[in-house]
Amino acid sequence: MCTAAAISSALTADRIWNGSLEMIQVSSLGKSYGRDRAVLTNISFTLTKGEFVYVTGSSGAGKSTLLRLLYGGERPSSGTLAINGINVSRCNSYALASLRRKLGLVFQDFKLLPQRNVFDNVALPLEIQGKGQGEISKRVLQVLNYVGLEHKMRTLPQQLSGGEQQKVSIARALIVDPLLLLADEPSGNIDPEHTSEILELFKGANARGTTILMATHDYSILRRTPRRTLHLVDGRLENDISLEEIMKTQRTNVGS
Amino acid sequence: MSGVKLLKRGLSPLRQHPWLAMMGVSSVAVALTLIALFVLISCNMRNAVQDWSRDFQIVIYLDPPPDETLARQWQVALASMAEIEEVTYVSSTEALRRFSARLGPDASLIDGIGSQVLPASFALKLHQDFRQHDTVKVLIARIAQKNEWRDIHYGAEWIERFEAVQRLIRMSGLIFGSLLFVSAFLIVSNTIRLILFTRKAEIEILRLLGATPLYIGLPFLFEGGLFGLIGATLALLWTYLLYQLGLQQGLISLLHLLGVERVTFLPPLWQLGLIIGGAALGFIASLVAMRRISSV
Repeated sequence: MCTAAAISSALTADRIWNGSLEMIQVSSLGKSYGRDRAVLTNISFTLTKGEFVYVTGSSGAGKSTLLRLLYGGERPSSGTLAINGINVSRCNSYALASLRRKLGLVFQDFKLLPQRNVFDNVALPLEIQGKGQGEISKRVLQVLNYVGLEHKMRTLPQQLSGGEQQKVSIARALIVDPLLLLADEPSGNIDPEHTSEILELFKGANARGTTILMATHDYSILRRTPRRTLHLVDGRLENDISLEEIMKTQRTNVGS
Repeated sequence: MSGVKLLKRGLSPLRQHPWLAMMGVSSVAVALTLIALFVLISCNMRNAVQDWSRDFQIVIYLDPPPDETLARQWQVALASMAEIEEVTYVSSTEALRRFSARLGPDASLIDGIGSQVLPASFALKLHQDFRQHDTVKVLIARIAQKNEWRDIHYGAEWIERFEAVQRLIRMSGLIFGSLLFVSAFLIVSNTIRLILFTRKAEIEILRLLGATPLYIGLPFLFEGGLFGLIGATLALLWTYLLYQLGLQQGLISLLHLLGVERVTFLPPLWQLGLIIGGAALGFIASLVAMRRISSV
């Protein structure tokens, strides 16, 4: 049963959570619009707690749809998906809200509120959680310091570069100390220099225990920071390549 | 969410989209002004019709006329009935005097007629709530149980016409009032829906960050209620201005034909009802708009 109370009690625990090792369990997942338009077909995979995994594929392969299904932005047409044992597809709107308060979400288009400055945008998740002003200020300053934007906390998003806006979006995702961070093409709208910086931010969060699933079609990221990769082709999971396999391939390429 | 935060979030669209907010408040104000004007006219029409009913009376003819003592006893007995507001005893002599006065210069025609030629009578005026055909019939049946009070007369036809006029006013009030209310509701609901659409991106971001439907919806409901409250206050002011600037005179001219000399502004209870109703209208319209836009 997926209720707000069940999610709240399950997700307020530490990163080890309910004792199981799986953060995400996806089984025979399918999503189609109408009768003929299948976007995802029979997807199955598992993500262990603390993993950093890429979802790759060309445009229209189904990467964003997969992430939307994971954070409950859409309901699957078939199959099941669970986050820490909670069946997301059965959650009502209050339970979904409760789940999202424990997740970190990062988008290609940043999704920042234009009328709020950097500080207020980053503070928003804690405001939604009903935290006190003192705690909010302390956490916002910490996380802005982490992403290197504390000097721009009174600036409006539109006065920032794309890379800086994405950093604000990452700071907003990290402020809740998420168990799972879902990033949908976070480098899609930013320059290579900022891409490296945000990748470091993700690596830092992952080192502190946050599980990360990142959709990208930027293969330079994969080369720079190799991780397990789920490769989608036309809505199907074509390859699930482990880090060991990637490293082996890279060593082979270097050797030859 | 604290009250201050809610107030700040509820007022934020007024700062962010002042023209849209002004449109929302104006649409409430215009719709409620129409309703207020309609209620004002209906109230005065109803008052006029009720003024007519003051003249309604039941007459009991007493033949043979009772002596003075018995007449006083009967008068007290009739006056004790809950439906009866006033009992007037008209003796035979008084009836003849009145008849004579009515004849005026021709009064000499009845010279020499005996003072007992006209019957004595009781004229009964009823409380306002009992001036209806059904209650009058029940009262007459009760009075007629006494043998001496069997000769009872009242304007049956008049009371039927009076009730028909009342029904007409009530029905037209219900129909036009409902139409105006539904129009006001749709205007307000769609305006707030428009405001919600301008904030679609903000709502989506709040949802993605885990805001509950209540957290997202509360400021909009507050905003709708506020629009309704401000709109209703404006509507009351506009109605008062229109009343002072010409409506009062227009109504007096119209109702003068019905014998009414005085018209009144909306009663205080209606004024309060308009303000509370306006806030409720805004709140409910906002709720409906929220539900219709829940897919954003």
